[in-house]
Amino acid sequence: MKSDNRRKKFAFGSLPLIAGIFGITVTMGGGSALAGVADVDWSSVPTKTIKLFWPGQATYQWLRSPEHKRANLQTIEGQACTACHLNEEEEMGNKLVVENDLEPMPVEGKNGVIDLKFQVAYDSEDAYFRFQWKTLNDYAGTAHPYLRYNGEEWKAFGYPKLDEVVQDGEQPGIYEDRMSMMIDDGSVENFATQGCWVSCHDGQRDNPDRPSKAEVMDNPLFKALKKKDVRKYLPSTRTDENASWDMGKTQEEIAAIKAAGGFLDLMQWRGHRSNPVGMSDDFYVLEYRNSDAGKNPFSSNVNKKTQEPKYMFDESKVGKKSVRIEDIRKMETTLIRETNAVPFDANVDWKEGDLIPKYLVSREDSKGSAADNNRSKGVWKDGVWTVVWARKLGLTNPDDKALVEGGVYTFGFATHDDNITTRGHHVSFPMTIGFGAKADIEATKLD
Amino acid sequence: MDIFFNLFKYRRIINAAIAVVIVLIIGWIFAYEPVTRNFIAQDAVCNYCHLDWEFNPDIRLTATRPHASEEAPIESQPSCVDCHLPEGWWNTTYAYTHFLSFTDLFGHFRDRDAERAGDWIPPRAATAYRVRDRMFEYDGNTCRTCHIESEIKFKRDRGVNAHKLALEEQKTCIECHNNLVHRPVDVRKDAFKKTDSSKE
Repeated sequence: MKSDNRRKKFAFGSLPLIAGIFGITVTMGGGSALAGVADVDWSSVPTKTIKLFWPGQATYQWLRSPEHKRANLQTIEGQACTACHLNEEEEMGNKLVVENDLEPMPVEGKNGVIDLKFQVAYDSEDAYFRFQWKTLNDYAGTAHPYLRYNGEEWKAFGYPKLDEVVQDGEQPGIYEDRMSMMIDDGSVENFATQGCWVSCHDGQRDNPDRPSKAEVMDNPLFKALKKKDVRKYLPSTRTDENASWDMGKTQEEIAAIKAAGGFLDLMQWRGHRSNPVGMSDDFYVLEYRNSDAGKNPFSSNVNKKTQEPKYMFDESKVGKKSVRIEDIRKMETTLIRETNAVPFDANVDWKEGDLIPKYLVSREDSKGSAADNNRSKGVWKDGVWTVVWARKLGLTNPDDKALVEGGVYTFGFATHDDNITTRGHHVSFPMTIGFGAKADIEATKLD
Repeated sequence: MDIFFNLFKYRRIINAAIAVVIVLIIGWIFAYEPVTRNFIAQDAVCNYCHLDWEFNPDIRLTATRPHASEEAPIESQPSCVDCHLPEGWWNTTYAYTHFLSFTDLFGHFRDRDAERAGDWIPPRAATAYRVRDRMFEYDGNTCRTCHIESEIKFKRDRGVNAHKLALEEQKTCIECHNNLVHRPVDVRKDAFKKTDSSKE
């Protein structure tokens, strides 16, 4: 009954109360976002501090190469990273974040380590996660690349800090903060011991030996996927021992691996593209970093034909049709289809420097398995993000790792902080979480 | 009878000679190993055949400075025999059989899976494989002459963690500590496989 009562409290109708609890000012909609987790008494849930560290370009291939001295063979055999690197997160993060063999593009002022405070609980219906971490910057990472009017046309404005255009000073570093979880139930080889590193490979964005767009599009697997770049994938989907990006198995073979559960769940809370509508996205990693079936809460706001925005801000709601650079990080600049957006009007007297978000966000349009994480919310206060997140137990989608009571799962955590993406994250070694079972971290059962 | 007469006649000389021989033999027995290790099997002798190119050119290792930590004084550096000639009287003999190419000769008849399969292995790699196999087989006995497990002072956590695991899994030095001295040769992926006694 208590659980039922909580369910009732999760109802979207309780938003004002919950928003009040969080001190959230929902300025641009996404209001039916919170539900659930706000009702958890987190003071009764133990907090685990997890060291997240900068991994540089320590890819799957590098870890198995002789450059990974004294450990490459052991890594090939599946030895855990922590067999050697237990409690070395701080040392490694600080070493790898500055220029070195594994960091050819150091980001000025970047910190090597982040302390993530993590709590996990569950009841009969949901798992609840709470993350807290201090951001490098004294502002919330809620800004994301925009389209900027340069007097003649709309051009991309703002890039992640690993990009050359940012490092060369041609563009400002603008990218949303993120909190990510990767989950396995024991089906993916070596994930329990080597965690996220099984999915990080040469050839991926910002990693070594990145192929050209043409090379990617010419590859049979990527041609079938209709993808132009290489993103996370699992070695089981490649034919060669080195798990090369371009040695993909056939679609049929990959489908068989998926059917057998040989994939990772990857979910990301996003400061710009999901948080304003109270969601996190839902992806899975197999031959690529794939979206779950259905639709995630964000999509491109670029009209491919005209290269203009599809939507602009609704002046009656926001007070303006576009924002300016001085507005960024001072106000919420997410464009939410159902709340503050109207179709783009090219006839408006646009001024040079007008900015419209490059992505459109919508809770209403999200659907299917991709919309499973529809109860998560982050609040940034005094330099610290606090993200709470509920995920339903016992999901039956074929692209989800169903969390169930009695289960033990391997988790990997990562946060993207300070306007950055791809490998520019701080990551954890893998750890197990038990829901009513023995594990590295045992979720607190709520009454 | 003459011989016995002569023996008797020169018994003092003979006894002295026998005594000298015994002393020499005893001396040789005692001196055999230290003299071999310190005076005969010197690095310079080894380098008569083993040339500079066998050492890692990137960090300019030389035969007299092959295995150094930066702080270690030059005189504390190990020499070839410290790593390649196990301590012990009988083991010392291997220096001479090696000089005479006996071990090299037999070494080429050793069971090398890849060569059996018909793959050509560069001589440098073949040598590395052979020596590593030996170090693995003898549980890093030459390493342990200097490095006493219980006395190792670790500088970083990874050393503590890795050695703890190695002890638990009964791993030996060369399984992790390879490519330290000589020109790098990749470790074979099937190297360091312990015999599965359950199948014997």
